[in-house]
Amino acid sequence: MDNNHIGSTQSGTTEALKILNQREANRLQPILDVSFEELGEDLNRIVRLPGADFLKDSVNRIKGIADSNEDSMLRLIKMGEATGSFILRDGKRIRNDPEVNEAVKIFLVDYLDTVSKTNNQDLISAAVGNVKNFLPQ
Amino acid sequence: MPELLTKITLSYLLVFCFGMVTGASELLSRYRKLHLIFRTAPGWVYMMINGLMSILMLYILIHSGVQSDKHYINILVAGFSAMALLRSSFFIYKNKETGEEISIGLSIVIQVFLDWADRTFDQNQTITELDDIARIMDKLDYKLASSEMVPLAINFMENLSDVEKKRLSEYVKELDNSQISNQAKSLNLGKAIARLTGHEVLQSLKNKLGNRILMESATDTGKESDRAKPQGLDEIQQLIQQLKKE
Repeated sequence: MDNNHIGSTQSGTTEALKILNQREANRLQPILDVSFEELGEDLNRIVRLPGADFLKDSVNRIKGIADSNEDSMLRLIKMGEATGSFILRDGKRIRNDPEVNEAVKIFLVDYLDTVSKTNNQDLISAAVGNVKNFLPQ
Repeated sequence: MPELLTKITLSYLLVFCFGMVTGASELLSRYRKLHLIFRTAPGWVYMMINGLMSILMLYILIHSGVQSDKHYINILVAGFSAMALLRSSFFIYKNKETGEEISIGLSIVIQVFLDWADRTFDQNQTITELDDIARIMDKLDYKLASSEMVPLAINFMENLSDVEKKRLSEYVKELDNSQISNQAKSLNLGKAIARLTGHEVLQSLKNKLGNRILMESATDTGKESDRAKPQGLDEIQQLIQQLKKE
């Protein structure tokens, strides 16, 4: 722990911002935990639908992330990635089944709502992109 | 018999305390901040390991039949041997590729906890320091602060070496050209000055310069209300409406 040198701008800033971000994450954790419960229920609803067999693996993967004990922001980032990839792959098929479509839409609404609470630019941009891919142009 | 039992229990208790004190003294010599050791989990775990190891050594000593009649000797032998055993390594393995040297022995276990303590103490210290610097540098305009505070700090601190002065000036130039926010620049500037002057002088510099280095408008103070809203929030609301309508 050498405190006697002038550290590089980058490392000093990264450290400082890491702590500020950690505080932000701590502030958000309880707010997002409630949302994760809702998201978990939405995903359960999808999995239970008989027509959603083709989505089971993707949804279970997202559920695994939602239920994990990781930091909320990290969970949201991973969820966003997994959601984006299943939308791209199965978007059309989902829309062909009204029941599955409805259940996925409920999940996406809660997902967008959760992301908007973070005020995180990267997450918001990614979520908007993901959901836009799902909606018909 | 009950008197003997009491003596043995007391010996275990004393040897445990001996181990705890050994662990605490090692941490204290490393970090020099007593409150850090007692307020963090790694500090307690490290001391407990030393205490428990001392109990184990005393148990072995008593049950192997080589104990002394005098309890204080047993306690000292057990305490010191636990200390030595925990820090022992039988041989050193050198990784040819990385050149890293790894001690093989119980010291490897103790090192894990020391590393944990290192990280935790460092984080704690950083948080406290960041809070302090953020408080001092709050509402300061980075450009005004750097142009006024740095020359003052350099001129008034008479014991600064030329190398330290040069480093500070170069670092400030580096900060000026970096692409980070003014808030982060101010924090880094505060930290760089405080490294050479200490926090009290930094605070005093701010007080003496007063309003001259304050921000005219609170655009980069980091306060909740001042933060720029991320783009895309309106779009999210539109998407939610669209999903609900469909």
